[in-house]
Amino acid sequence: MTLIWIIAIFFAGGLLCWAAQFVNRVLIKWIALIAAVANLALVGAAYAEYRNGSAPGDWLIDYTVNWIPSFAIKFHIALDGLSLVLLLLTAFLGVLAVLCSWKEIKERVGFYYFNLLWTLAGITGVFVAMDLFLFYFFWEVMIVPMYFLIAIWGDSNRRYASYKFFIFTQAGGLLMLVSILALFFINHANTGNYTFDFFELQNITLSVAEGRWIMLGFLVAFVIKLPAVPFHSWLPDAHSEAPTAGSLILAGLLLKTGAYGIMRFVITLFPQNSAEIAQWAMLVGVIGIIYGAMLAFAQNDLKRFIAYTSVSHMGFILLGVYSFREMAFDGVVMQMLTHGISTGALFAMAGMIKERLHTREMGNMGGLWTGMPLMGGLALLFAMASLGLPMMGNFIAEFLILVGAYEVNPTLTIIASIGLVFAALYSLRMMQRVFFGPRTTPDRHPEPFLRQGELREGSAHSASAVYDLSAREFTILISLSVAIVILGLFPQPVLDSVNTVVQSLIQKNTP
Amino acid sequence: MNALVLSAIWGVIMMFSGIITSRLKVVRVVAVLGIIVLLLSTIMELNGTKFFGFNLNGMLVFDTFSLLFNSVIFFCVLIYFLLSGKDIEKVGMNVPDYYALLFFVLAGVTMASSFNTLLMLFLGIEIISIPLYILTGSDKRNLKSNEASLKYFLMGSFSTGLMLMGIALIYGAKASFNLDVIGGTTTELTPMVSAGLLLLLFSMAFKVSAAPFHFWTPDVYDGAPGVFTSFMATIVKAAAFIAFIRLFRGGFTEVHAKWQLIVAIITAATLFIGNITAVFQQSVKRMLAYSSISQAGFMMFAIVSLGDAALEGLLYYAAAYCLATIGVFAILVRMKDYTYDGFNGMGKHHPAIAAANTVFMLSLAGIPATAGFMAKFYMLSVAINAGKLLWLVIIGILCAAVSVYYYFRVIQAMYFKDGEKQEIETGPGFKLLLGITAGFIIFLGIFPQWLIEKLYFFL
Repeated sequence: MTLIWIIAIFFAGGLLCWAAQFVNRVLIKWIALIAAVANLALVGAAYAEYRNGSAPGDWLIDYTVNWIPSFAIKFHIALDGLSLVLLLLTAFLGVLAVLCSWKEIKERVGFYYFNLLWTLAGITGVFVAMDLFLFYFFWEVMIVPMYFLIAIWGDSNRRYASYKFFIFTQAGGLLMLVSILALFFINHANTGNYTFDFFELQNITLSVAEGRWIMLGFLVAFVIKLPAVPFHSWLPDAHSEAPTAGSLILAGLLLKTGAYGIMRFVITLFPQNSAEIAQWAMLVGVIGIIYGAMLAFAQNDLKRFIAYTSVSHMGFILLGVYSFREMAFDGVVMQMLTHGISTGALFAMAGMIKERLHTREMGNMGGLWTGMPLMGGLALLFAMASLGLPMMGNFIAEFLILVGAYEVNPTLTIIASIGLVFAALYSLRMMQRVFFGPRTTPDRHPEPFLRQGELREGSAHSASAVYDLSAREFTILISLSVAIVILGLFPQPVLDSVNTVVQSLIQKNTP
Repeated sequence: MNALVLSAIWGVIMMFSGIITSRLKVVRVVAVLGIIVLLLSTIMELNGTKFFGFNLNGMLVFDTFSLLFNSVIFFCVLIYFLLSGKDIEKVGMNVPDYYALLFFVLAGVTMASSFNTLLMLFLGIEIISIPLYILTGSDKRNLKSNEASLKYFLMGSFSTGLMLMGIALIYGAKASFNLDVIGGTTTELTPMVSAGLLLLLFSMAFKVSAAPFHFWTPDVYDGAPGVFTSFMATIVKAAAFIAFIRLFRGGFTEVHAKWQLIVAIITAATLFIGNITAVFQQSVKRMLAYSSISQAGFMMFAIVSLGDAALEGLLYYAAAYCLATIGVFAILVRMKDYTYDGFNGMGKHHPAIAAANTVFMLSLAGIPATAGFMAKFYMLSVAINAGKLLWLVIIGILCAAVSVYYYFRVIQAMYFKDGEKQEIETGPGFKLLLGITAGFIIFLGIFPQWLIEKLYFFL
């Protein structure tokens, strides 16, 4: 029941927020915060239960109820170790996303939190849905509100970015739908049994050609979301135009749904076909690592910079998953978590800087450390995390992936490790341009990011109103830093919880 | 049977209501009353109560499928009258006549959905078409409306000619108009039968505005008064589809494999042309005309696959599509500016209407949790189940992704662009009804079982 509560709280919280708009505007934020915190507590409780070992079997929670019986569609949600750690991430970043938006959002607040919470509900659903139709349903539920988040509260180029985001993901999603339907009918032809249930479909036998096409349908949807290189072009636009919380959720959670989908569905349902394309997938991953890093290095826009680092980091996921090694799988899960946290933190900081300077141009920043020593220190921490310094979680993740992949394909792995060097380059360059160097007081610029007739806080006084972190901002960043350090020092609990999942993946994928 | 007789009678009543009273409100109430009577009588017939016991010699068969379709359609017309009734009154002077013509169309719809001989098909389609020619030109002082009417008339009679020709050829080959006889004896295609089949196919494709017989649609839909466009694009189109599938299921199931490819190509072309052209429209009304073509493309999936599930799917699709489109048009006809810019800032000035319109657009675009998604899902699943047509499904999917662009453009205009406040005449009743329609669409999207069970129960 916990899972249903989590999803229901997000949905209901969203509706309440929208309704509260007509009653009391202060109430809205608190409703959203309470909903997010309540869910964090619920997921935390589930995790504690899991750690105590009181949960039986692989599946901690398994709940099924008929939904559309004439299509054999069931509302089937279940929770295992992998889903659990991702739910923890979702709930955690959910709270932070609400906190991030506390002051940034000034118009249509109720509708904003409605969309925010519904996106989170969709993501939660994606992580726990075990009925393929339900999975598709949540997959779509997550992108429609995200579209609104970008399109209404985004920056100047928000319309273009939101369109691009939506059409890319929608096209991928529909291809996945075709694949799901194909599985449904092939399974019926084989067994005479109509079902969308993931557990039952796992036993399906497909001819090689069938499997290949059906797998591609799934894979395209997931690599668009991930994103892997030829499909990544929506990401920089969407990330940089979205409001802070939007970027946080996009980078922290939405990208993970792609990685999750590959792990959960693609390599589980199509082990043979996955093995077929493994080398190509690893190659695409490595291209993503290098290409993303190079583009990140060349960016002047802070948020676009972070977006491209995401492309680079997500390349590791493909590399790791398709090497089919235990270590690499562990690394992939770690990468999902740590990337969510570190990139989320970077986006949060970019948002905070933008609130102060009203710009994302790194050229207009510089020497911010003197004005904001606290933020500077924390930014340095996350820049180090992003470049893979030991003691931060990202190091563990990328190290595990590289070690795992090396056995399979040394050449690609070596090229991928060069990506780490690039990561050091771009991260340090970013630190240098934003926080170090002479203090450049930005011009009293025309505020290009404000819409007509809209006044934001701080715009009335001088644009160089650089002030250090407020208590709320400090809370956000410090909790993220604690999380990333803990993951770096004690990754074992995470690895323990996904152990059974990884083992079964290994079993499926070793011929 | 109940509905056929009653709708014809009610058409006459509507004509005379104009003589008895000059108060438009009374006329409207009588019309709404009429549609409620039609709806109830159809539901009663579903449960076995027949008012009229004529011997039809098997020319019309009121089976559960046609009755179910009729009740869905009458329900949609009820919503249509309630939402757009006031706008019908603004078209011109002869309001009672418009209502009368609409009821005559409904008589045609009941015939077209329950025919069992080709003659009744012809009659049904003609009874639908002729009042529509008049309604299209009902805005007499508007040049575009006149042009549309003439165009529709010429093209429509041409396609009816094709249909008659096809019927004649089939009759020549089978010596019968009866669908059962034709279906029972058509096991292979002789030249005469195939010529007849093709002519019927083309004329039906014309009526449902499938490519390449769609050219009349944008002009006619654009030129006709908005309220009647709404009626044509929904009720009439759905009826034409039911006639289409009835004709081909009844008559040519045995040779399905032989004509399937042609229909599949027509479907692909319809999807492609409808969606791509819709992207480039500047007027929302014209966009909706092309959108109706692309939606027709999806409904064509039912004809392509022709199974039992296809029947259900077509019913579900018709309901989902009609509700959403009627809703959108109800809003559109009350606006002065039919371009996308006309929608600018609606989210701010008319939040309730904008929210409902968003639901309609999402449903048309086929986003989950709306009825439109389940409808598309139905169609895709019947096509995949039919096998061999994966290429068509992929084209359908890609076109659905394209359609997101133009439907979301309206949403974007409403919420993300600032605009002058447009005067839209709305009362609380109108808003409430829009809200109910939108709610119903979401309900059907989340609990499709409700309607499907109804279908199963009767089918």
